[in-house]
Order: sequence, then structure tokens, then C-alpha cells
Amino acid sequence: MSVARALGRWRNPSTRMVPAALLVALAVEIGLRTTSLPRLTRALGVELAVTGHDDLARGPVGLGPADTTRYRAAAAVARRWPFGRNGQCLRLALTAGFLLRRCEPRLYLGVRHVAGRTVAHAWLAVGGAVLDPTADAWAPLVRPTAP
Amino acid sequence: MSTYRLRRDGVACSDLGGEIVILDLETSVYLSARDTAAVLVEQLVEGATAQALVDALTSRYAVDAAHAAADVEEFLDQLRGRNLLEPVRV
Repeated sequence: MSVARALGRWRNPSTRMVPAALLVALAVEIGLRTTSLPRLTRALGVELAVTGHDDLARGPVGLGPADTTRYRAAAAVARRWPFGRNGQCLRLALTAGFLLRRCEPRLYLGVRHVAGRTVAHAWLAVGGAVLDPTADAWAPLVRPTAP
Repeated sequence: MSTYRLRRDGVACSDLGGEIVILDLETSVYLSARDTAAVLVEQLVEGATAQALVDALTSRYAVDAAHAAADVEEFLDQLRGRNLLEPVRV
């Protein structure tokens, strides 16, 4: 890569945010291996939501430019993250959740059947809106309560 | 007779229709309950005695009470071993 191209990339705000996202992702990885999910989410400032989210808005989320940059940086790191094969969604949600912690992030977990297998997914809601457009395809994992 | 239910704190579950997925949030271990196990978990969400669980099985499946009681006890032991049950205080 030429120096000019590298500098051009560095002008991209998301690229400049990547080192911070990388450090957070590393902390998340260590946390996932050493502590429970409720403790980790508390430490990151992300609410672990074990409720449904029918009340939350869908569609484009009104993240400001700085927060959009933070989310894109977290997504860029998650795409290339070498650990937790098939578990990148949780790492992305936790990393982005920390970077967006001022926006009251909530972590949701869900499951569904894919090709006869039960698979799990994690996604984030911030500011009262679901970030993941595929969220409605998953059945949220909720606290067991009598009907 | 003791009444047990699925732990309310630190556990999350989802009904996929014929399969109930349980996640122990403390250990990040998923459990999948299908068929008869799903019937038992449905009852345990609300809280049930071992006898109520046996009744739930015998009313839905062609199984005698003794066989059902043995299966229920084994299932409850598995859930207790994973710390997924809590007693219901009445």
C-alpha cells in the first residue's frame, strides 16, 4: 500500500477509531473467557436485556456521526477478529456497546433454527432502537416468568 | 411435596415451538429441551411439583406413571446439577 493511500485511509474517522475499538475488543475477549456475561456487561456499561423488545423502534437509528463512526470501527474489528468463530455478533455487540455506552446500550440474545440447527445471535439496541435489522428473525431469550 | 421452578435470575429461555432453549447466563451454557423435556420445562417455568410433572407427561404421552416418575426424577436431577432450579416458597 502506498503512503498516500495509507494516509488517505487514516483520514477516515472510522479508521482512526479502530485502535480504540481493537483495545476494547481485546478487553471483551478476556472478559468473555474470565467472567460471566452479566458481570462483563455491567463492567462495560451495557444492560443485559432479558426481555422482549417489541416496544423498541426499528429501522434507521438516529446515531450521530461520532457514534456511527464508533459503531463502524467496532464492526470493522469484529469482522477481522480471529477468536470466537461464529461468536462475532456477541463480540461486536459488547465492543460497540462499550463505545456507545453513553447511549444506554442494551444487549439482546436470541435463537432460531437455521438448516435444522439451533443457532444463537446477539445484537444491540441503543437509544431505544434496535441496531440490527435482522433482530426480528430471532426469538429473544427472556427471563422465565409464568404467563 | 416440594415445588420447583426454573431459576428466574441468571437464566433466560426462548420457545422455538417444540423446542425450548435455556441459557445459563452465569456459565454461558445453552440447553435445548425438546419433546417430553420441553413439556417439563414449560411446567417448570410456572413452577411444579414432581407429581405435577408426572401428570403432565402421562396426560400427553402413552407412558405409565412409574416410568414417567423415573424420567421426571432424572430430568430434575440434571437441572439441579446445572443449578437451573429453585424451590418455590409458598
